[in-house]
Amino acid sequence: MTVSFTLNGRARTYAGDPRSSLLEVLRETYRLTGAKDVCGEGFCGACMVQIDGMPTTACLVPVGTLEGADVRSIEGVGTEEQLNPVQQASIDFDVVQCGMCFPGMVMTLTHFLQDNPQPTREDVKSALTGNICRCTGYERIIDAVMSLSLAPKPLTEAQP
Amino acid sequence: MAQTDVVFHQPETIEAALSVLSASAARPAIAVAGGTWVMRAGLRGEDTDKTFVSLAKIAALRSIERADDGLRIGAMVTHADLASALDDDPAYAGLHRACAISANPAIRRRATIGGNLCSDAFMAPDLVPALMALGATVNLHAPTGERRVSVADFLDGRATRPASEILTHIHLPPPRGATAHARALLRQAGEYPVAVVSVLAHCRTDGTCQTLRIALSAVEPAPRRWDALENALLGRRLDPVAARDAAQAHLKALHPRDGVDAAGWYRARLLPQLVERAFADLTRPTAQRDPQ
Ligand SMILES: Cc1cc2nc3c(=O)[nH]c(=O)nc-3n(C[C@H](O)[C@H](O)[C@H](O)COP(=O)(O)OP(=O)(O)OC[C@H]3O[C@@H](n4cnc5c(N)ncnc54)[C@H](O)[C@@H]3O)c2cc1C
Ligand code: FES
Ligand code: FES
Repeated sequence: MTVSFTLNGRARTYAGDPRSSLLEVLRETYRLTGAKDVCGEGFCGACMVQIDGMPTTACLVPVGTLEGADVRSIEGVGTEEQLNPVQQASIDFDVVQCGMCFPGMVMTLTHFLQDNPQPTREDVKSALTGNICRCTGYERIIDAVMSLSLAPKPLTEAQP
Repeated sequence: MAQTDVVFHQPETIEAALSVLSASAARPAIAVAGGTWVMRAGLRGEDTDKTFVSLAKIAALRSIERADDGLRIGAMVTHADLASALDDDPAYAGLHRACAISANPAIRRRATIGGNLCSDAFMAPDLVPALMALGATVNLHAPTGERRVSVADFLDGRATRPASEILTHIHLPPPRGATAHARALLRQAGEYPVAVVSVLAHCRTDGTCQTLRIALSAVEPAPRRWDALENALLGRRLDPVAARDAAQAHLKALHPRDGVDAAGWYRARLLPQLVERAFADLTRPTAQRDPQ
């Protein structure tokens, strides 16, 4: 059995064990190590990717279910020349400390801002219930998100 | 991997899924719904070498249908989908809340109501007690035929349930009365609740309680109705403080479990407060409910 899907805009056909988690396949087969392998349980959000546009914990998704899916990992949301707005705001507000949680934060928050262009701080907090950060205490992450909510332009994803 | 050694199936009908689940094969087969419990089998030290039978492509398991005899919810409906389907229906406020605040947003978009009922080792489900409060039944489909049982009976036989039986849908009778769902977390970060109370109360015109169902979760190893408390409060008016005191008086008969997140005595100690909160919610218009 093979599984064909799109990964960061590129067609892929995976031929390994279809029960493997998407996280394992991203990291081991495609060497995309932006999604982090932390809890393996859906609690921390460090492995967050987008499947058909929805933030999803890659550690809990059997890759066999992804036939025809559109998968986007942190490697596919911006380029070095043009970061995605959440990435740029994270730099501008000097948010990132160890960085372990950040790929997942960007995946969650990018989607969140598309649906909630002008959130309250409380909205941002509940959106982050599945993204744990051990370093920052969250407040600066929220500051960065709030700066985007004031942006006059609607948030669009940079294509790789 | 050899073609004969198929470890992953994605059938499109219930019959096709049942035939793979019941076929004798080299390794055991397991139904996979949202995968949020199955994919953690390795971390729990369970055997992971099973044949996956994904139910994701079976359209019949995904629908939510309203009829005169109540609501029929397909087993593959996710927490998030059910939360949006019940959003504006005050009669289902308890189940709505259970779906809308369990776990975290990404998990709510994947975990299913069927998976919540079928994960027999998961001790802190939110949906299961909310369904017990609503008097739900579940429909099970095996190669030998279908059967419909109450959630309580389903839970009793759950651990010895045949692997070749699929939970196809949940049936909720037309709701009579108000429902509420209260849960306690140690922190706010999307973890399991340490205690859950879900209630349905239907009162007569004089305000006394005619039907009362109170279900507990996370406290004992499996969810169950708290019948001693129901009996104590039946026929009385809905009074949050009186309900709290009655809960306090009935704590001794419980068998709370110790877990890594909380000790048993602590879970029990939270209950009177949760009962009070649930009863306060029952007596308040939906829009003003405690967002906790
Ligand atoms: C981080 C995290 C936090 C969570 N917090 C909560 C919470 O606060 N409250 C809460 O209620 N839940 C919570 N959950 C969800 C819960 O722990 C289970 O993971 C979930 O309910 C399982 O649903 P699933 O669809 O993913 O099932 P799966 O993992 O796909 O399956 C679970 C079990 O049920 C069987 N099964 C599933 N569907 C069927 C069916 N239709 N017929 C027969 N057998 C079936 C499978 O064979 C398997 O044994 C949380 C999960 C995670 C990962
Ligand atoms: S590694 Fe997937 S959620 Fe933590
Ligand atoms: S920056 Fe270290 S975990 Fe978030």
